[in-house]
Amino acid sequence: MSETGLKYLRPEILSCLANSSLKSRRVVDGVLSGLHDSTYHGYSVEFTQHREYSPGDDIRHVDWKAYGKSDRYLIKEYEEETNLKACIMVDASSSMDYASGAITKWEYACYLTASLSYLLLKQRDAVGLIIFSEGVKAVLPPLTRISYLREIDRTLSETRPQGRVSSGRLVSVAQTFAPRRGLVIFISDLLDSPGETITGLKQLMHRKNEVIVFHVLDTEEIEFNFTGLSIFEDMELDARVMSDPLSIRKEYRRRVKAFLELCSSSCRSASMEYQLFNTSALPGVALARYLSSRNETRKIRI
Amino acid sequence: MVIGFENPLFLYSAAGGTIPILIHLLNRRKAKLQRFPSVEFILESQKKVARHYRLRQRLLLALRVLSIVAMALFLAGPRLVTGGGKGAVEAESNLASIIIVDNSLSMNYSPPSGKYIDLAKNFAEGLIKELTAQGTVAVAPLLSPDKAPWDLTPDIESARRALGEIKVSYEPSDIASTLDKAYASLKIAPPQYRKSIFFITDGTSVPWNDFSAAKLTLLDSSVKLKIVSLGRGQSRENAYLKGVSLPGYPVVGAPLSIEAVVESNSAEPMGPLQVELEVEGKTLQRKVVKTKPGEKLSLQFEFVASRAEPHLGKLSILKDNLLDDNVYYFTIPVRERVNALIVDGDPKTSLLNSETYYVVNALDPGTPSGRSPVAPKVVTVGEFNSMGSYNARVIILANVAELTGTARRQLMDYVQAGGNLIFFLGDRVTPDNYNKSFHDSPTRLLPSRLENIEEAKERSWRIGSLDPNQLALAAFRGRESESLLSAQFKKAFRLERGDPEPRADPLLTLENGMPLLLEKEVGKGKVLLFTSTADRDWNDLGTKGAYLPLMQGLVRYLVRDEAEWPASATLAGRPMELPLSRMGSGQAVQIVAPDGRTLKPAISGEAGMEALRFTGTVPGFYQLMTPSESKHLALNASREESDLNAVSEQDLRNKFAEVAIEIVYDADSPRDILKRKEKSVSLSSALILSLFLALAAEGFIANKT
Repeated sequence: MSETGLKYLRPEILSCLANSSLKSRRVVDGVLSGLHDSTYHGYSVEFTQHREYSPGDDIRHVDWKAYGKSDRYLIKEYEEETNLKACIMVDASSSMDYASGAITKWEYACYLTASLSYLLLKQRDAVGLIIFSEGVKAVLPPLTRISYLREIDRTLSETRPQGRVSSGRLVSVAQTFAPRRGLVIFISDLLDSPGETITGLKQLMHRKNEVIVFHVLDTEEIEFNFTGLSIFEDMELDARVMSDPLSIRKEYRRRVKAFLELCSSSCRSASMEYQLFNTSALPGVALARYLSSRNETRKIRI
Repeated sequence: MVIGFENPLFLYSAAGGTIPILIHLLNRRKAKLQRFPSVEFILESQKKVARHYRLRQRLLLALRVLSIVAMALFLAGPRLVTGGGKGAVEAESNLASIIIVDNSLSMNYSPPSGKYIDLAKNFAEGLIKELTAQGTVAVAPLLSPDKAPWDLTPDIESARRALGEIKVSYEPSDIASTLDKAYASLKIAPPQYRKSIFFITDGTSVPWNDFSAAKLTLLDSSVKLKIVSLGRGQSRENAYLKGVSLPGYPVVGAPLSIEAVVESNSAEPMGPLQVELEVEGKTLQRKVVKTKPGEKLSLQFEFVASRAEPHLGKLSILKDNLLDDNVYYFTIPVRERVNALIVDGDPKTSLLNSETYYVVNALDPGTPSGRSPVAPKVVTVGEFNSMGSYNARVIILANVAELTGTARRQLMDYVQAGGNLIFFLGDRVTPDNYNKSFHDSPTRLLPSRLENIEEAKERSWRIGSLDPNQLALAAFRGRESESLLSAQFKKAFRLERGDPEPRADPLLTLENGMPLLLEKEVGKGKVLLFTSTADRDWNDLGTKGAYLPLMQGLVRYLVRDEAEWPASATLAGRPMELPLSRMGSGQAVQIVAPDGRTLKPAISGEAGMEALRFTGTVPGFYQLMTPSESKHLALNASREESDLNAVSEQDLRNKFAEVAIEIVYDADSPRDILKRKEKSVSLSSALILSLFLALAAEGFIANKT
């Protein structure tokens, strides 16, 4: 248990995300005010507080008077910014339980989920959670209270990765539990029928959701640095293969690279954001880097 | 084309080639189990590289196995020996070759396939034909070759003549010496000539025993040495007469036992073999014998001579594959019976109590044939004193007190002329009288002055020592001496010490140090002094079994012929040296060989000590003749060549050590042997290169990802 009292909410990760925010790139549909553009115009808001400027923030909200006084860039925050309904979908299939180092993909995904949840809840956005493999393992509807983090963390902690992802069921789960005009963050290793999974996620796009795909893979799944004759046993299927890793490494890497490119291009073509997370990178750093890059991109678009 | 190996034992290390295979199999069993999220990519990758991977793995395995095998082969020292093959015509010229034909005695071995010397000559004939067409050749025998250098000739007829002159010799083999002569002869051939020595031999092991390459002083490594082995693989069976002995003393009318020793060198039983005794050309007796492998048998033959003269004897084994060692020539020196005149100094009415009873019975014990070699005659002192001459070769004085002066002088003349005298003492002998009569007088016959009679006090004396090297005591060289040494002596004469005349060591000595039997040469004769009695008065020697051989041995020793010929163990083919005095100094001697040739021996040495020198080349009787007399000498073939077992091929190579030899067999024709270019090419360089390339390839492929 970390100092926060939550298993997957670590201070070292949060410190990386101190100045980060996750903003939807789509027009959200929400009652509460948040960081996101809203379909609702002319709604009165009141200034609540300043916060430090983060790259990507809209400069229209920079308090220039405060700058003149303090020589610091500060953003005005308003009380009733439009809120976002986000749903984090986390793959809990057996393959997510793999680790070549200290952390499994599942744990990594949990760290990402908790961190994102924290970020969104801090933004006074609503966060929900869907854990799935063959079917739905857990569902938490989107809520805005900060104390929801505890429930999210507990649900993640109680889950053991098991089974295989059924892409068909995934689609129906997504349609049932995912919000409209919200944000869906899909965290998975995409090893189970990735094409069908992505196709299923596209369905969510029809509901005006922004979909972000976090592709979590272990470094050995990408680099395949095994040595010595080995028998590889599939963690999901009843399959084994004896192989000399050295002899197939080059071909393996080529195939994995092609797979990653396919996933990336498939997401992009479906207007979904795609980000690869290698479990060898610290989750906080990787997430902060992603968010910064995302916000930068958003800023450029604006 | 044959591959040979210098160190074939290393070939076993090629089994190490299985190590990579075992490691490969063991590694497969040690594969690590890895849980992996999805093996799909692995499977697909494997499918793509499987073929290439399997090929790579197999290639690596093959290279590793090949490296180990190549290393093993390299260590084994492979050589590729190529041959031109039968019928292949080899256009070669400028050959200088020596053909040495083994003409030792064993080459007369004659199995059904043909006599070895004939086989050798036939083979040599074939070689001459081939070699003279390609260069020059010289032909020489192994034994008694001409002085080097031998003439190398391209003329086939000259070579054939030289071959035709080769005959089996009875001389000893000296392989190193003959090979040296061959090398010396090839030295004078032009340097561009390819030089070879062909040595055709049956390879019997005894001549090779003394050979080693170190004895070759003129070795030339550029000369190819080829040993043509005859009859390799054939079993060689040979029985032979190892020797003959005449244990008795041949006298006219007395049966003589002739002992023949037959030995078998065969690995199989032999027989029945007929062994025949011939004397003076007449077959007297024949015996049939069977031998077990390697057995030595003794056969007894009997011969009775009617004349007192040397008889020529011959023993033969009829019908054997090697006849030269089946014959044994020997001379039988038949003599008249030895007359022994015994003077009884104390005659008694009872023969048993007389001084001479035991002596007479020992000298003439009454053999079944009644013909002892010695004919004793007993006379009284008076009778002896009145004898004008003595028809005896030995005179024995038994306890004789004294003789007349005339008798003493006559006795002295007799001994000086070559007669022999034995003194037996007793109670009638007084030291003063004897010393005065027989020592301190012109009739100086006594070997020593007498001092006094000594008597044993507590117990009798026994004989303390005897000199077994003395011919007189030849019968007591073994356990036979036990009987003699058990005799007990109560009394004996002590001899004076400090005798100015030096005397030889006693033949017998009592255990108290007193001499018992002494010898002295007087002129041409000998005198023996026995310091005790001939009868039982002072000792019990007469009752011992040793008494008879002692008495007969003393008499035979005294009468043995100084001009006795050398024993029949004299060997043909060896230089002989005979003192000329035996034939009468200064007279011309001719020698007639068994084959009728007359030999003129060489004479050397100082005047009065000349010696005849000659070599009898063939076994048989050689007649040595002077105008006045003739004597026969029996020469026999050496039995060294009777062991026909061949030296093994490996032993032969070991004897030549670093010298490269080629061993070929007479089963191959000379033409085929010559066509073989025994190019022995070392394959080590090729193997080490292959090993290097295999290791380099293995390293490259193993590290290539």
